[in-house]
Amino acid sequence: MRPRSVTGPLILILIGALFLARNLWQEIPLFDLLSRYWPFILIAWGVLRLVEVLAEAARSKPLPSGGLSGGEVALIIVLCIVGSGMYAANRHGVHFPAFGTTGLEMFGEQYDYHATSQKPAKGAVHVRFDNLRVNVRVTGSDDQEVKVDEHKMIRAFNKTDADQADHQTALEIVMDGDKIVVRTNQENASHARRISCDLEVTVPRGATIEGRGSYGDYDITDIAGGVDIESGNAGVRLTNIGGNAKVALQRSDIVRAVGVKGDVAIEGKGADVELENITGQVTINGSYSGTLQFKNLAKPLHLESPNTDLRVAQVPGTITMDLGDFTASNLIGPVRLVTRSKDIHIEDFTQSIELETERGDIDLKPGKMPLAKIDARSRSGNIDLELPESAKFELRASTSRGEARNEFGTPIETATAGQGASLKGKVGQGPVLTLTTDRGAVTVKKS
Amino acid sequence: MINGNDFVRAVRGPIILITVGSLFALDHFTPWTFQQTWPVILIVVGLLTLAGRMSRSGPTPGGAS
Repeated sequence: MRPRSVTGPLILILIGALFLARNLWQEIPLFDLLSRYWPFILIAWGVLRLVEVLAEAARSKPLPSGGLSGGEVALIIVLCIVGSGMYAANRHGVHFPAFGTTGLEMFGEQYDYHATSQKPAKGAVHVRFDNLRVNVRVTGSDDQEVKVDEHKMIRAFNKTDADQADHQTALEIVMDGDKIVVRTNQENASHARRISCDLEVTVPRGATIEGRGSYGDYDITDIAGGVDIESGNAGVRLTNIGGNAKVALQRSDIVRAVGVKGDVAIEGKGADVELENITGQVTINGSYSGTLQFKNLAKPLHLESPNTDLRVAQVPGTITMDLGDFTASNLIGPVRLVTRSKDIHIEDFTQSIELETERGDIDLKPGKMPLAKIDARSRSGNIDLELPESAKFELRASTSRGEARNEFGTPIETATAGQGASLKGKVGQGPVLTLTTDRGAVTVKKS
Repeated sequence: MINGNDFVRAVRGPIILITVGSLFALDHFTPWTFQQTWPVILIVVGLLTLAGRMSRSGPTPGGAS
């Protein structure tokens, strides 16, 4: 019998090494890496088998007939399906839960520790949080001090271990230049992954908050300064912030900001984003798999994601956006939206509007007069435009495959050509409205 | 003496595997998508089959192993 292949055991070792890496260094985005680089596993596997075959051929041994066994072929097919699934999901903003972190936490017992620490501080103080796994709740108050209440949870097999870990990770408030740094020192513990922390913090109202960590939520309320958070995985909730807010996350379940006086900048990957009552500019750059909601933004909004580019000058009303839909009402333009596959509904907007979707219906109702330039394009989808009876405009609507419907009567000429149709004409003197779809109906209605 | 046909059969699996892996890698890191490049697999399989036949009737006739 010929010697069995070494690939089986090697794959076992590889999987073990990956999980070990995941457990030891949690900040490695293992699934992101795996979802991109998995084809190289196939290549390495193929090269390995090729070398084996060549070696056997060189020793003039009998050769395996197919090069691969049936089991291997099945495993390869599974790998291809799982790999491309992960890759597609990752590209569309879905992230995989760090399931490597939960397994071992079931063992041992949980020990709780409480600690309090404070430091006098005045006015516009800069407070930084340097943490691995911590949930932080910060509230601005009139007291002239930074006060931290810590609740630490340590999983260990016995109390001695837990006590030791507690000592190694004593809460510290130290000065770094003119910054106050709050440290939980979890990196000093022998078993860092078994420690998690909740911090309840009060700071002087004028404070600026900086957060650095790999895991844990931030909840910040009533601060006159700015907020700057960078984390591997966090939910961020900001309420009543006086300065700019900058949030950069590799993963998140939610970023919510209500009442920010300065600019808001969000980047990275996540699920939901909710912004309300923002006085400054809003810039979002990243991919989000959940629902994005914007309400009452006083300055320009710019959103850039792999599938969508959105610019709006002002949002007195609301915008709600998820993977398949974009719904907005009461916008001040110019509005520009380019997206891959979304149905778009916009009502009550002023100034010019430019829309482009590859797959999806477009539904527009410019409630306010006078009209401004409209340019709407869909590769595949219906376009509906509803105009007030008194509207004045010049219409250029066409579909390459579908019907054209018009409720404005004679000033608009309807023509059919092949499978398509077009509407052209002027109703009074007004801006040019261009509606173009490759496949679908174009309709102009009176409201 | 190794039979050329057996040799081609033996390397066929690994070579297809490397091809598939490379195509997916191209898909992920270059503008070429798998939807565009998959016919390469057919070509590789065809070439391997051809190589197998050539070695059977060609300069290294089968029989001894």
